[in-house]
Amino acid sequence: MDIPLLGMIYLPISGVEIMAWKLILLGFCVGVIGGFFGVGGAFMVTPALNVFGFPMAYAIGTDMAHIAGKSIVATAKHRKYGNVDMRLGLLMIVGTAVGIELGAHFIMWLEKVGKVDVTVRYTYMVLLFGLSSYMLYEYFKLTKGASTDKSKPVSDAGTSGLALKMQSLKIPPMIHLKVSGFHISMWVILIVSACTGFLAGFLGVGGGFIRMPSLMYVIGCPTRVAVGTDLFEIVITGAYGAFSYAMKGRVELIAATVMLIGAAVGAQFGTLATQYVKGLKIRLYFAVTMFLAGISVIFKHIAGTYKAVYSSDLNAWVKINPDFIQWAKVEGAALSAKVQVRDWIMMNKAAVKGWLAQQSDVIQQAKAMEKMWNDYSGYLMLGAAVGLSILIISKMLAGVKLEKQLKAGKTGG
Amino acid sequence: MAVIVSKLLPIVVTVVMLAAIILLTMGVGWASGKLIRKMLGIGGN
Repeated sequence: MDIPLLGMIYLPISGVEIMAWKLILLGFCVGVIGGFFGVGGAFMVTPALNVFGFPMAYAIGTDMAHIAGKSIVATAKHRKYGNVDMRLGLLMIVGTAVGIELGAHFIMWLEKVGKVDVTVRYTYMVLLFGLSSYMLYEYFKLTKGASTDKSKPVSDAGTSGLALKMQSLKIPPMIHLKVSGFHISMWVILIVSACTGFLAGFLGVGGGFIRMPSLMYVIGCPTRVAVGTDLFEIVITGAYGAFSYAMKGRVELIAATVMLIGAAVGAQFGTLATQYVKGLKIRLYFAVTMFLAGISVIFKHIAGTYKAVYSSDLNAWVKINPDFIQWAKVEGAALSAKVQVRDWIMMNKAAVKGWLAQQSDVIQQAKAMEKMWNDYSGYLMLGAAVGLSILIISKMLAGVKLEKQLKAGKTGG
Repeated sequence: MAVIVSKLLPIVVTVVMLAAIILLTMGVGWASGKLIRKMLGIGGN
């Protein structure tokens, strides 16, 4: 049955057809998660869009536009709750911009020495599993033997030892962060943000999942301020990313708009939930999300090993293809040789399919296995997005109920 | 003049389109926020 506004929609830029409800649901779930954790959520949206049949080249750009819009809604809400440290956020943007530029240069150097794919994937895995393990360790250490009295107000995990050391560095100029509630050297903020920006630029991600923990553990922000301030930064970086991809014709505007409608509603739930869930619990859920994202990257890595079986043959065929040679001379002239091949393959799926059909069973099987593992990665992230948003909303509803009970108790007694 | 317009036009169109989408999102966000608070029975912000 085709339900109006929720049924099949045609996306003219990428040329794919997709069910609108899937985009709204994905947008909603990532909106909840983004508003709750202070991340853009590209690590969930891009593989999930890919599972829905969205070409990767358009998935990234569309995701950027969705992230920018969603973050504005979530940041506005967090600002109302006093969770956004504007001074810290603005300084972080400066450091991040420098770091991203350095990271991009490092990637180009790695491309030259031919180690980019392996280095990026392993760094990504180490970061995701390292962060999630540390956060899980911290959670269980702090909750061991602690009271489970649910009537206590929203609490935080306190300032880490590393953050206390950073705050004690008295290198002028010192800055007072009113919202976060401490003094810190401007250089510490700039260096930390440059490091996180470097990692984001190097990994080719928005970097919210690196910045949020560094705001908590290295700078020493309370969890909710880290969430709000990170979102504020994502507004700026996401808007720039969306503009840049849109100029290259890589943003599927209809899909981005449909996803944003879901995300705008989801972000309200996610942001509201930060008021009812303890800071320590936010860290726990974030750690679990990072762990699942790490597993998804492992699946991608396995898919990559199957791709390696046929990629050199495919690249060799592309390079001698007359259509490619013509395209590379005119439209792809400004791109590097590697990007030319990658982009042409993405834009000429039918021709690539035709080539694959003529190849040996080994290559065809490798292609099928690659798709299967990529799908596993996408379904895992899709499942995680749905499951986590249900968990976050249920915790928020429980918090609202408890607050009402406490108010009723106070009024009554 | 024509060169400047041809260079600027795609930028202006892109910015206007993205701004329109973001305005729509903010509208949906504002309305849904009001509705959610009303449904949950929590006032204030």
